[in-house]
Amino acid sequence: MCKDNPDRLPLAVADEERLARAIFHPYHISRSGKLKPAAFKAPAGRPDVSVNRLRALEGSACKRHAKEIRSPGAFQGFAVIAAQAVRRCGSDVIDSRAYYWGHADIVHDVVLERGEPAPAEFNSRLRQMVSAARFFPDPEPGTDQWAGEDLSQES
Amino acid sequence: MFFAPIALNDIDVATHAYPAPQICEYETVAESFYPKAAISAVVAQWGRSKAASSLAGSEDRAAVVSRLSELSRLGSNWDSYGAQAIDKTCVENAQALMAALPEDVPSPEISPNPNGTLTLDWEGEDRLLSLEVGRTRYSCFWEAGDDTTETDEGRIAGDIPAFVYFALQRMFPPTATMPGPFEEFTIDVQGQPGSTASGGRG
Repeated sequence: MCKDNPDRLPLAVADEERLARAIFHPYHISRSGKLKPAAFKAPAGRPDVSVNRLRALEGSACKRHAKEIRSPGAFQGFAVIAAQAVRRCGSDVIDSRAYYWGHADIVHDVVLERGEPAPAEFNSRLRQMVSAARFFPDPEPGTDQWAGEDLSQES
Repeated sequence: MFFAPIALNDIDVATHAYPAPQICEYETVAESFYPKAAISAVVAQWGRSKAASSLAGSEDRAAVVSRLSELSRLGSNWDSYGAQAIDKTCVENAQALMAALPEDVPSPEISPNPNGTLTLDWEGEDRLLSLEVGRTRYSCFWEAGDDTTETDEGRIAGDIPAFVYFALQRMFPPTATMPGPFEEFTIDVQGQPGSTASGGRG
């Protein structure tokens, strides 16, 4: 389940680490199959977006954690991005293992307001962020095992 | 490069002459104020022409209306990460924008945001116009395909923002040769055969 033991997983998330965000709604995927920036947006009033550290968790472990979330939507797959790509777009990645082992947060420098648009410049940066991410669809969303492509593959 | 539109009150009342057209770089003009009359002229021209609808997979208007209706029913936590429900005023604002779009402009792809707003995306070959619609404000950015990104923000006033109009016109240019603010035209002066004048309207 876990690739590393606690002693070998540093708190600092390295630039080369890959992060997987569970996607629950098809609205986050465009008609052409591309990820939408909303997949990496936080709700109003918060800067953080949950992700899994693939250095610590394999695909099936990520999927089991995703399925623990009480979700009104069906699990669609994972959006995978390198920590470096997140930081290049002005956001940061921090470990948040208190939530569960291997959990981390993308922390944006902008907190959204309810019912009002994000700054245009922030939306543009998020577009660049999702351009650097890759969506891995789940071919068997009903199962607990990850049956899709290897999440550690480069974009 | 193109001619900046000229408002009715720019015309010299005594001579009924247009002022000399002001030639501007697009980037400069897009961020400046556009009089309503000038925008109306663009829309009128656009609506009569047959623009190249090259948007891949564009939805027709009926599908967009259906989509907006669907999005208006999204409850809180629709993304499983604590998203806010889509604000009804945002939906109404998006509907108003759609209604104001010239009919030859391809419909955008519409998607919800976790803070309750809506995003309208027009995607061309290597260009993207993304407009986020809120309750009282909008924000948009335009990737012009030459590694430049322009942005615009403002209050929603019932019209399509001038920045959006002009970005859309660049993405989906009209193909007809109707007289308009961006092209030369020839007119018959007082209906007299052979008596014509030509020039840029502005």
